[in-house]
Amino acid sequence: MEFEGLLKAIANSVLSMDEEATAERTQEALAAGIDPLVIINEGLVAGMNQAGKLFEENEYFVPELLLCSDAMYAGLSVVTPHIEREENLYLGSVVIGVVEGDTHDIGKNLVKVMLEASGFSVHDLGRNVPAKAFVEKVREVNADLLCLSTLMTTTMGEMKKVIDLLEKENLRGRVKVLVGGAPISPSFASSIGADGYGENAARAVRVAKEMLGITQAKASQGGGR
Amino acid sequence: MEGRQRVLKLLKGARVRACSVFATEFWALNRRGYGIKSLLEDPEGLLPVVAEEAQNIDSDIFFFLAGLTSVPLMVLGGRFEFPEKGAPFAEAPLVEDRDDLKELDLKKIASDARVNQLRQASVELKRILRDRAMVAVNIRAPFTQAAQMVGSENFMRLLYRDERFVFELLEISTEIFLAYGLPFVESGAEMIYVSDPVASGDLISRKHFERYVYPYLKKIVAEIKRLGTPVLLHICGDTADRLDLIREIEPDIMSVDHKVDLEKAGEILGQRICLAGNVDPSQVMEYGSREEVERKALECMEKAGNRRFLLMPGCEISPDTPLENIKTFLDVGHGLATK
Repeated sequence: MEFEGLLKAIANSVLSMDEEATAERTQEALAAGIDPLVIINEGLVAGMNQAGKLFEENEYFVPELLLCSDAMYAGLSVVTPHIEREENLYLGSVVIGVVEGDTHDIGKNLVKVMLEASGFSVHDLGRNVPAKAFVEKVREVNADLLCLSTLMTTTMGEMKKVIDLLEKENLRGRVKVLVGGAPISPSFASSIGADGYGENAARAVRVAKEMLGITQAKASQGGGR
Repeated sequence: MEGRQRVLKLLKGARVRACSVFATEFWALNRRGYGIKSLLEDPEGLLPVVAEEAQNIDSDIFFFLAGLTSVPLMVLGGRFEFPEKGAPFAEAPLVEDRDDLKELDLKKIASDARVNQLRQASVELKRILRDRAMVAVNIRAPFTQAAQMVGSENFMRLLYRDERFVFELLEISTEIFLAYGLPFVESGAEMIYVSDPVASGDLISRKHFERYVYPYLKKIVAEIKRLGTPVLLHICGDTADRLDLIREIEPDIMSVDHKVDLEKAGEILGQRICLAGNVDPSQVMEYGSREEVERKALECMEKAGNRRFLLMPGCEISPDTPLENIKTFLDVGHGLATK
């Protein structure tokens, strides 16, 4: 019961965007002997998931989600040194970036945070990323998933160029492609040959897991490969 | 009747079939293989290219300087990178802290050679296009510009962490807007296109809009209108929950993105504001068939009903938008047979 209360307090401090309180509650939970992975999954990530839900319901917006992620990271920096390496969650390898010509990266950063919180290993190429750089990184890290983002209608066409280049380099069959950003729609995603579309950061993670066949049970066990 | 006349009539309260395809100088230059930097470096040389493309379509309003809204920040010392494709972006924030605000010398804006050349280019474009299209000069709204000054993500955090700094940024961003924008009006710009993408409901809450966006937008719209120049306001994404506040800001034209229900938007905005929108610029304009463009444009006109209405895409169009779709859109908007 005490454990539950502590975990709930961690989740609440993430949800209320309070970095200091999140770090303190996380420290308390460690001192109480709660397993670090439980603190992450049932405290920090649970709080971030609740924030994601409020974001989907238009209760939270980008500033709120950013501050929740800051709070979550404040807690993670306390708990991470206590995790045995093999205990780390690992659901798969992701390459993410904003396509060439576009520098709006807030949405991409939120997706990155949510993917990392869920247990993916994320390689962030940043913004204004040429198609070639995406493809090279996918090959280098043997990525399971490639996430492409853009905010502008003028650069949506770049997404197709990346997918075409994956085909040309014979990598398309080895990696799933998830696209997102304000002007993107499910039909656009399918028209350029993407495997999935993430309407927002929270849904992007759900779609990513579905596309990679990751079940909830597997995720909570910290499975993968 | 030509495009500019249609817009003038619309602004005077007439219900005419007006239509703009939301094409910009960025669109024009890209179509011809030029990046936006070329216009900044050689406005005189590139203006004929922009004018030719603008004259190639029958759009009632042509939007100018949409790719160069960061020029006032460049003048103040901001370092911007110009990617081959897309709009310029800040290499580093212009403002790191409060002390940096004191260092900004706004007097530089009026005397800057590049700004003066762009202003002359806007006058020249108006002269070339004459009655064919009205030229709307794009100036970035104070809120979005303030976000550019410190970096958007940082700005989003500051909304919670340092409200005093946010207000200081917004005050100076408003001064920058006026120092850069009003001389365009004084040089004869016939319309000012105020864009405020960061004020979108996709990014910030209504509560933040009311506190940080509304007062400054209201002020700059009033200043421009006081000089007798109409304002077209565009905010990307979903703005449905803040249209009542936009009604109080009183732009002459409110351009809404494709996520907004036109009928409801019209009801909230009332008769004093001309509604503009909102065919999906990518899904329909760029990737849709000619028939789809026609169907969606007609749908918008139907939703707008009997109110004053300017048919436009929901946001600026991509340079890759097929010319056939653009022409179909404009024909539908102007009530011409398309088949």
